[in-house]
Amino acid sequence: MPDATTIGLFERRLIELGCPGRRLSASVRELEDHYQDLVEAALTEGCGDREAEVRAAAQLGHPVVLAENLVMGLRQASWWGRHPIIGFCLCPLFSLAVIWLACLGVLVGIGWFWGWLLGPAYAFDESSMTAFQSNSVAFEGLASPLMLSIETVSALVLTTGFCWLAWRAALGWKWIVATCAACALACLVFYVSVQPQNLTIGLRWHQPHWPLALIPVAVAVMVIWRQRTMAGILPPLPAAPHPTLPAPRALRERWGVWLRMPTYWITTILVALLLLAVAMQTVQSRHYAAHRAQLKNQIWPAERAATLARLQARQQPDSGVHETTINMKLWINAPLEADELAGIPGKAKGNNLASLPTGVHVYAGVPFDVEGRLQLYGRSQFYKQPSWATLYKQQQWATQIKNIVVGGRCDRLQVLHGACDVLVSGQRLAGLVLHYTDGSSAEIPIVGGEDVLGWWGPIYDTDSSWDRNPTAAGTELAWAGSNPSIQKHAPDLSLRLYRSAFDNPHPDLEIASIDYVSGLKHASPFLLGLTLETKNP
Amino acid sequence: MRKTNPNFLNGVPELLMLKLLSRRPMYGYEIVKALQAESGEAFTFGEGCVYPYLHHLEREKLVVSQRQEVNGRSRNYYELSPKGHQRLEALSADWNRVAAGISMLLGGQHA
Repeated sequence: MPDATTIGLFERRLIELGCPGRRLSASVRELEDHYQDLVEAALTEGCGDREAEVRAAAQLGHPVVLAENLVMGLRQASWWGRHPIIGFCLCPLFSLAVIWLACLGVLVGIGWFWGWLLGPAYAFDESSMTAFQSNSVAFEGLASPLMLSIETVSALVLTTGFCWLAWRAALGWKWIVATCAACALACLVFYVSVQPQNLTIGLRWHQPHWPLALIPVAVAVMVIWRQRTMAGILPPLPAAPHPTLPAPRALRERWGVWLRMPTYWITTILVALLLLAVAMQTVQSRHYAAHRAQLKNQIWPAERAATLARLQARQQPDSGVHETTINMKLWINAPLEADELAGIPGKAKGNNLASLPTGVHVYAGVPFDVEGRLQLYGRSQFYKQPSWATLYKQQQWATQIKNIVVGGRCDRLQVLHGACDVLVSGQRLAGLVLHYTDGSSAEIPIVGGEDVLGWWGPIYDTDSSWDRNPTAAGTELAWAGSNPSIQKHAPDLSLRLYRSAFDNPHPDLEIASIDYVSGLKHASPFLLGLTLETKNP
Repeated sequence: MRKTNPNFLNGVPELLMLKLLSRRPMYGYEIVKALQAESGEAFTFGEGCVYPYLHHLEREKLVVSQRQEVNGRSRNYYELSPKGHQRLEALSADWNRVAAGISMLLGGQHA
């Protein structure tokens, strides 16, 4: 019967050092066989039972040293074992994007296979892909949960993959936990954005992905728990180190090792570069902070005051035209007090136009009867909702508001309007479809960047990275204000509404009604006032 | 305390084990005993040290191991693979060349 202490110590040390399970059991069994052979040989030579065991243990060597030699051999046998810093601290940071793309590739492959299996009607070919991408509602309805699934699967593959490599290289639980930490960091900074015809993948610290990072953290916790459980079962190691264990290396020898190991050079260079980048960033940040403080405290307040004064000066009706305001109370789908994402708790609370006065008022030289908001759907509302709302409680504004009764002729149509989240210029965000009494109709497009800018934006000019002025000649800033949400999240910005003038394509015909139709782009447009303008005879 | 030159002795355990295993499949204890007996007790070490070398040879696919029951005892037997035979030939040739050189030097046969 083998000496339980010798084998127990051997097994415990193998577990501590992270010897893979199959190799561990095989090695323990092999050592037991050898021990038994030595005991039998000693007994044959006439030794007593106890003497035979002592002699066998001495001949076998110290179990701790044997275990360490065994694991060192395993570690040196693989690239991952020889270069753990590169393999398990740096590689995970860049591997998530590759795994994500691979998962997407697998998914596309399944789509192709599905089409091939079920026939041309279900084929996932170029034309069906284009149709899918151009259907924004269908695209968003599928894209968000799909991306969430791919990200989760990628994080799982990344974590389990690197943990498996560390385990296989016999690097032990500490390296497995280290690689879990690197995987968690990769999950935090991983950024992917999927839009029709546009896929962006990268790393960024802005808006870290905390839920995804919980996957590697959970794996690390499980590894630590398992290690503690295993260590608790086996006999403890002797308190003092065994005399045959190698002594710590001298400093000079350590330098020699450093020079011979590319892993150490690369790590040192990378750490030095990282520190340099942090130092440069710190210096740059200080300069930038001083500049921003000057802008915030002196320049922007003065420019804001000047803009508000200009807006106030334009609160007189323009002469030489006759204007008829349209009361749109019957078609209002959101009061001015309604938040941008009403119904979604915790999202954009207080982000509304409650500070805009109701009734007939003059904005940018044109009177408008403002009673509330005609809010149309834009994809930004979809993205801003939390995933549970996206999946289970999708709330959308109308994609069109039809039959706004007008009943009159005009040369120009004046609108007071705005839009949430105008990111791209030149897109048709909405359209005004004019239905004439003779049955004909015409559409006036409302273009982002030209006729309207995002309702959150600056009303100052200096160092403004945002679009400041719409490019269309008939559009000007009509009103600027604030709300609790903008004060909380972006106090330097203001709410902006625009007055746009559109020529009536058929001024001689009477307009019966108007449809306000969303362009189903990212931005969510809204209409506040509508006025018919005719030149004075 | 006696100092050793690890670089000088690199490859020697590998050569010895491959040579022993080229004769017949053996298990760890048997290999150690054969090493001691056939080298005239020249090699003395903790007998468990043989396993890291055997596992290394196995990873390199120079030997293959198999659990076998012989005379009522189940043991892990190691056997030389075709790749191991090639490696043994190469190592033997190298060793013979080096040993001949050392013998010439120690024997004082100068040119």
